[in-house]
Amino acid sequence: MSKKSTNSTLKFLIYTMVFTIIVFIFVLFVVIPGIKEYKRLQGEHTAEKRAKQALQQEYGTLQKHLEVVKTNNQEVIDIFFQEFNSTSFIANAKKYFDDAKITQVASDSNSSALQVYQFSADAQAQNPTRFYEFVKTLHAYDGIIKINFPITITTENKLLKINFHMSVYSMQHK
Amino acid sequence: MRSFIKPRRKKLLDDMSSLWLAFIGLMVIGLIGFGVYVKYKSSFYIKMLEDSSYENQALAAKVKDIKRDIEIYSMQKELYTEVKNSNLILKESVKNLFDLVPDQITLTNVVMEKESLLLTGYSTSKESYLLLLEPPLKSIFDESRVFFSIDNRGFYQFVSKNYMHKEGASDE
Repeated sequence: MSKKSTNSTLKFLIYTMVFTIIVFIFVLFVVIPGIKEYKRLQGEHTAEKRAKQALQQEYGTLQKHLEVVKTNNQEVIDIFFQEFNSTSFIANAKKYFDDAKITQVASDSNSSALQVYQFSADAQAQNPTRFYEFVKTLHAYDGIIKINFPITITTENKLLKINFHMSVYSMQHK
Repeated sequence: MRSFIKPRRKKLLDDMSSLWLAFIGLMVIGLIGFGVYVKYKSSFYIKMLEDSSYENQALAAKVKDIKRDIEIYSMQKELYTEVKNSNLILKESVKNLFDLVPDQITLTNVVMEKESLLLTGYSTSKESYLLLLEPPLKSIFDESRVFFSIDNRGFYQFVSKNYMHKEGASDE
């Protein structure tokens, strides 16, 4: 083998090695991490897209459900959103009692939905029939009114005195 | 001696070396280009991810709000029904109590609690209370106690204390 031919073979081998090393380094440190990162991000994006679809579906279903709940409970919702008017309440209570008083004793600090009033009424009667009639009409007032225990009924000279606490639930607009 | 051919300039690299270096250079440019392209695509996905993550957060907040609204409306309905029933039961309890009281007995004070009842009143005789009012009270309440005293008109004044024990407590 001539000297020239040996040199050519050696050069070829060196260039092949240099080429292989450069390609190997680029693939190892540039191409593979880049593709890995790309695949990871693509996967995350697909997951986010799926999550978005699921959320949109849930949102749609819940919106329909909310509409149904609102339609079915419209009467109750309206009652809750009416602000309790103690003046008109007293005016109505006086149809059943000779004298009626109401004072706010507590308000739920956690929510504006609950107010507690002390209600006292005097009626000239021998039995509490007026009280029954009054209780029957409670649903007609603004807000939701619940009579709480204890109820105290005292009679003095045929005058019936009724005293009780009542909770008024009313969502007030701010 | 004299040569008849013109001397040629000696090349720095021979043909094979030039070819190899060009090939290696092209390959390096290609690999760098590919790396840049992948980075660009990745950054595009990063931007899209940020956007969709923000949208998903907003949507999740909306879903949470709707769930809360549904819960509130359902609770309002439940509360309304509970209050209505509670008022009805309370009215019936008061009505039943006054229906129980016979004409011979006059009540002067009634304190009605959830699990107890205090009655104060008077009757012409002890028997009126013991025979006409005590049996129904005993059938309703777990514990019924009465204290009598005679007032200056000669009527028997009574204080009746009635208790209902909680279910758990009575079992023990």
